[in-house]
Amino acid sequence: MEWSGYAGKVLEVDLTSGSITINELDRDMAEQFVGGKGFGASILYDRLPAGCDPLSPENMIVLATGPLTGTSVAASGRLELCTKGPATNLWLDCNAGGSFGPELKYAGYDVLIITGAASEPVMLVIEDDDVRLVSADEYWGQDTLETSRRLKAEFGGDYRVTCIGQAGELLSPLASVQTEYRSFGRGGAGAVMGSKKLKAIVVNGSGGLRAADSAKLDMMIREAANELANSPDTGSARPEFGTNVLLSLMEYTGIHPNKNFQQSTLEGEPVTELEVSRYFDRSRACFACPIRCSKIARVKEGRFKGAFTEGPEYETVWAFGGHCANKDIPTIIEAEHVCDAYGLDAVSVGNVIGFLMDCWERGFITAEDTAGLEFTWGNVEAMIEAVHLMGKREGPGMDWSMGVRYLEGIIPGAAGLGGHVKGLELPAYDPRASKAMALAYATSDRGGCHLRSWPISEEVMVQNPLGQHTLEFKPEVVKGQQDFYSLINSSGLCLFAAFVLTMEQIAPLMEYATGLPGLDSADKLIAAGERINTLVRLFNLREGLTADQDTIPDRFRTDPLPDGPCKGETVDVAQLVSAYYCLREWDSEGRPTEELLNKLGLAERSAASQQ
Amino acid sequence: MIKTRKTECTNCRLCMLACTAAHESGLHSSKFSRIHIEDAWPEIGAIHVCVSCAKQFCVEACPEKALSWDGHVVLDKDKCTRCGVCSEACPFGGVRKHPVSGYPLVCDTCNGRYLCIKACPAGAISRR
Repeated sequence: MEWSGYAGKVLEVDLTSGSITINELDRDMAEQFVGGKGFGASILYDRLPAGCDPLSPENMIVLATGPLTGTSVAASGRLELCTKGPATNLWLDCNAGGSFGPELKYAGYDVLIITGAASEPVMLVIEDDDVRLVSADEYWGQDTLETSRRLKAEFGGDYRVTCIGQAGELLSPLASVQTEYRSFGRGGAGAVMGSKKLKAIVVNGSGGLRAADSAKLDMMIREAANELANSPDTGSARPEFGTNVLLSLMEYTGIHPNKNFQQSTLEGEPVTELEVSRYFDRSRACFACPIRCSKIARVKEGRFKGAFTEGPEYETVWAFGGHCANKDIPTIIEAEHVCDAYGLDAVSVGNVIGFLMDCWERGFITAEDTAGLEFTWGNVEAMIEAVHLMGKREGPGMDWSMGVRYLEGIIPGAAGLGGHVKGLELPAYDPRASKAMALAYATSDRGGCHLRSWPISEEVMVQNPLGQHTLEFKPEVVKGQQDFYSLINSSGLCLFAAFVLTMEQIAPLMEYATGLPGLDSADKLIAAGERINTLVRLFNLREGLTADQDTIPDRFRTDPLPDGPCKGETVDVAQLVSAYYCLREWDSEGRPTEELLNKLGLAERSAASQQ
Repeated sequence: MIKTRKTECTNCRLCMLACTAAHESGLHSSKFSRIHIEDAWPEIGAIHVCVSCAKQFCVEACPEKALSWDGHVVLDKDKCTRCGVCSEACPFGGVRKHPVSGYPLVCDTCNGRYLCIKACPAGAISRR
């Protein structure tokens, strides 16, 4: 059929046999699951063997664009990576910007499926219809920055690169997949690529995409662009400060955690977005994005003179900053640079280091355990050296790069001290200071994550905010956001645009781009978001997830915040989770009910998988 | 005439999408654009576009006299042999090649509407 919005083809590469196949995109899948995360859920649920080892050849990687990826729609250049994740042993999906997604579509493909595993390091080269696997021997062992630079020099600057660094090659569950400074950061996707001996994917396309109704789509594109330009968020604060725009607000509301979630304040003045922005050289945008939230930061003097990164992002400023009781911005830039180079998830790596500092201060670990590094609060030398050890997986870095859950198990006394959910390290929001965030963490499909739902927006950032400490309406907000975010992560749009645009603006973009009847109203699209989340839930249940894992570390219930605006607060997430299950039409064990599966058209699928 | 400010460019390529849409009706792509942001990753590269230079290197270089000047560079497709000499002659990188037909692509100002300038969110391109 003639496709609009979509490129219309699925590229599948089996690394074991080397076979490369190109298939027509399935129209039913497009109407039911939209793209991106939805495609990943649909494909992995049907094809991944239950209980497979994430680092075995049985695991698959699905790279999926959305119908808007590559179009002129503002902030539409996103790409999803879906797989079974090694950090949680459950569902994993990551969303990244940059240019790789649009380029894949210009080459003619909506989806790239990678199965099997190669015996020697390989890379995949895609030039329109010409798709081939070539040896990556000479790139194996190199960091992501060097790999990307060399591949772009070899093939051409307009070729887009996605690759892993040493951390992925060495199978760390903290390893990211990097696409030219944008990251599929969380959950260890880099290790899955490493286990398949797939060092890099290089793509160049020469085509374009058609819209179903060009004139109407152009009108909605202009409306969306105007809305983004006029918003105080996407039109002003985010272009200026990037994600760091959150620093002051999170500090002011007591949500920004410090010292491994032990405190909400540090001595002296907190780090603000203004201070971080002094290191910004200029802005860089992802493809087709007017928001330009990415910043190129440089350190121009001092010990880390020359350190360079795209960022640092709010989460990194927290992970290597407050979380480790560090206020020195150049070391944060250096830490992010080193993480990007090795292909490490900066959120999890910073989280681990803060956890190690907490263990050190309590006497649970000593210099004997740390190759001589002194993990006192704020010791930046130890922090940077630890990142290197984790990236190279040398000495104690071997264990550290397994993540907080693993370390809790092997460091005597440290049980319960780590900040993680289901094995994925928590990001930069204290759940005691945002009750809805506690629920969002507990019910996130990939573990401790703020990008399945970020309800802080409804608690403090809107007119008539819900407030941080009431429990009312929190399950509704979290469920609503999860369904909306999953839809957005399936569409190709960026969440930062979706924070500003309304469904009444987003739905026509999808309708006029694709012309598919299944995607022609806000109601149908939100239902698709719910369908995707429900299928991912079925995936996770099949992988052994149980309701008792839908929680957050117990210390957030037992240990009140000792200081700051939310002093004395704790959170008991259990009652929120029960209410959330009811709202989702899941039973008390967190299993979707038959009625729900029928309503969403998933009953047959669920039954087929249980046979 | 387009003036570029390289340091303001964020590499979003909305100008390239707008240029493609203006000349290839209904097509969403950055690949058919007459304005081009060079990829110099990890830095942001220069913006290449016709600067309406006085010397008109491309017009002078064309062996078939297929290019002329009428407020902007005009191509006579009947005379053009798609040899690419014009593209090589331009020191500003302002002449690109159509990825399908092979004809040279030079800024035609969109009849003075400059749709690329309207699309730029960062003020990196403007009318001179």
